[in-house]
Amino acid sequence: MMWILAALLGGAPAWGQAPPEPTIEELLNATDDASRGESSIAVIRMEIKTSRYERSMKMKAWSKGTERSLIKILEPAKDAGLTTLRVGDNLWNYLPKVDRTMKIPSGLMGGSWMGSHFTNDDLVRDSRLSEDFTYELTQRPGEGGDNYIVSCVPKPDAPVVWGKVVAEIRPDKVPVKVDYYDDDGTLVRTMSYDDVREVNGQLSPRIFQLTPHDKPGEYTRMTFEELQLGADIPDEMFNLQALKKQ
Amino acid sequence: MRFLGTMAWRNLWRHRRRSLITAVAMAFGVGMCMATLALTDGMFESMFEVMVEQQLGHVQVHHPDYPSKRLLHDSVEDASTILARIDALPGTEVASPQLNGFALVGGETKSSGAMLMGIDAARSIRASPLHERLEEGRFLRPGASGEILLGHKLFEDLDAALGEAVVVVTQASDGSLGNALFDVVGTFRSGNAQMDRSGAYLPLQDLQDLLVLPDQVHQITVLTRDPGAIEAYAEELSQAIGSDTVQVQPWWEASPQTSQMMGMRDFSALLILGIVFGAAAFGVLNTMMMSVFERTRELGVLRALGIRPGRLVWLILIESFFLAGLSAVIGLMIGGVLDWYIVVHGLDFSSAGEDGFSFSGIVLDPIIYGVVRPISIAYIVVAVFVVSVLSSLWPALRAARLRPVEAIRSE
Repeated sequence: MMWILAALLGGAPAWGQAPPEPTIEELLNATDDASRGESSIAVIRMEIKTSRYERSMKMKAWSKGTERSLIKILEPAKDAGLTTLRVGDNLWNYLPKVDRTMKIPSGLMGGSWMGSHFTNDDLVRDSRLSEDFTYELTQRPGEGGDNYIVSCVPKPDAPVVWGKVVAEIRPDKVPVKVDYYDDDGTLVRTMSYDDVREVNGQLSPRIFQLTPHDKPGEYTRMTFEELQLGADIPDEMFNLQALKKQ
Repeated sequence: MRFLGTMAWRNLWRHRRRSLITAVAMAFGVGMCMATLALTDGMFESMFEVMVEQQLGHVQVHHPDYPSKRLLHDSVEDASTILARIDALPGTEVASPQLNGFALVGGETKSSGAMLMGIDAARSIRASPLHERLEEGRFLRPGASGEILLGHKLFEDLDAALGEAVVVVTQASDGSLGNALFDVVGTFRSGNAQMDRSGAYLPLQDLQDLLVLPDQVHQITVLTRDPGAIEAYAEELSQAIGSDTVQVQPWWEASPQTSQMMGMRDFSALLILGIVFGAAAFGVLNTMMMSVFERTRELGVLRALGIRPGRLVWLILIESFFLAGLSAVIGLMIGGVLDWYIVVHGLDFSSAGEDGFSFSGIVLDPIIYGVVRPISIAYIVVAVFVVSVLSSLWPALRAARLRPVEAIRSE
């Protein structure tokens, strides 16, 4: 009798059905976590194409928790050793050529990071779709497409610059693309995910491409050449003294 | 005529006190006008110096899109070739190239956003008074590299010290992160608040390397030998350069806003003249009217003796002409003393602002020194005569219309 009551109240256990349908929260969490686990070490190739220049960089990135990360440029030789440290909302660049560390002032957080389409702010901003947004499932697999489409609107006090974010996510919880709209509802940029592989028993896209829609033909593409999730990284890695030693 | 002249002169002195009061009142008007015009001319001159000669140059050479968009990539290429062509023109006094870029400048502990300006020190010394506007230290040495000159406010904001190295970090044109160390050799106080807060000068070559813009500049400011023939020079220069991607503009096209501001010079002069001489006109009108009323009988006798009305008009007009002459002489003396003071000592407007006398965002030296232009004095003298003669037309016509018989009877 109790299970009938439960079924009527909407909590029916799905006996007999194969994989349970993921909740929206799970889908969004998977998208949020596509690029960062609890802690990770990655070797990333970043290709930048703008109307003015094309540039390719290789970098190594360490991250621990949601607050700390370190990115060191390995190639090209001219920029090798440039290191960005992020702790919370703060960002520092270590410049090996002049052996100095500079904190990026708040006024320049909107500027481009290393000539890419990512801003310094993108590195620091730590919003999560599942926490900082109110979300709504706008399409299920089979309803005009194979994937889930979730429309997210930021909560009033969320640290988010977007007016709306729309994520397309595969049934196996791998993100396909995320569209970012500004307050006026104009599509500003799209992050698309590609080349899904299994890393540590978890499906993960290997290629992230950021396309700004106001600059036709431009993009920044990140390819994760190596990705190690759940690595044990010492805390000492993420402080200013360590920046120089990296 | 000669007879009328003698008579007019004597008439003027028959009422010595009234004539003198009118003349002195007008003379003060003349003196105040001279002082005010010297002051506004001085202000506009210093505005011209700060805004045009120091910043815009007489003629500007740049990429057509640079003035509106100010993008790093809108630069003039093959700058050294173009500079050589400018130098070859006979009308060129000096041409000074500049490359601009935004950067983060960091001292030992603090950092701040800055506008970098890469300049050729040797040319800049000839083209701009920047090297005279030093607060501390010295100017960039021609040919040197690795030196930087900071706006005095920026210098304070960075907690920097002379001789110390600051790091300059910027987004280069190829997307890389340009960074280099520069020795602070001096600080400047330019008179432009924004420059003093964020401007930094460094050698052109260094900035070209930092931004990866080889042999490129954003603008070349040219001072001509003859500031009166800027338009023709700009035309000639445009042909000499002969490139679609390089634009040559006289300063008033390069900055219509400045041009508009400078256009107010004549307007303000006219306004001052209008106000002062509008008041003076009533003074003359009153004096001449009174003297005509008082002399009704006398004028009637003159008419009865056969002097034609037209000659009476002349008589009154000549009287006021003499009055104007007298006012002008006294006025020029008063104005001369005032002008001398304003030119030599200047007027201190420092109470108008903390760092200087601000006008539409441009901070001028708080002490404004007068500039006496012969043309301004000529305007004033002409105005005295024109106003006196015009305002005595009515009394003169009145005198001419007197009927001899009635006039003689009147007391």
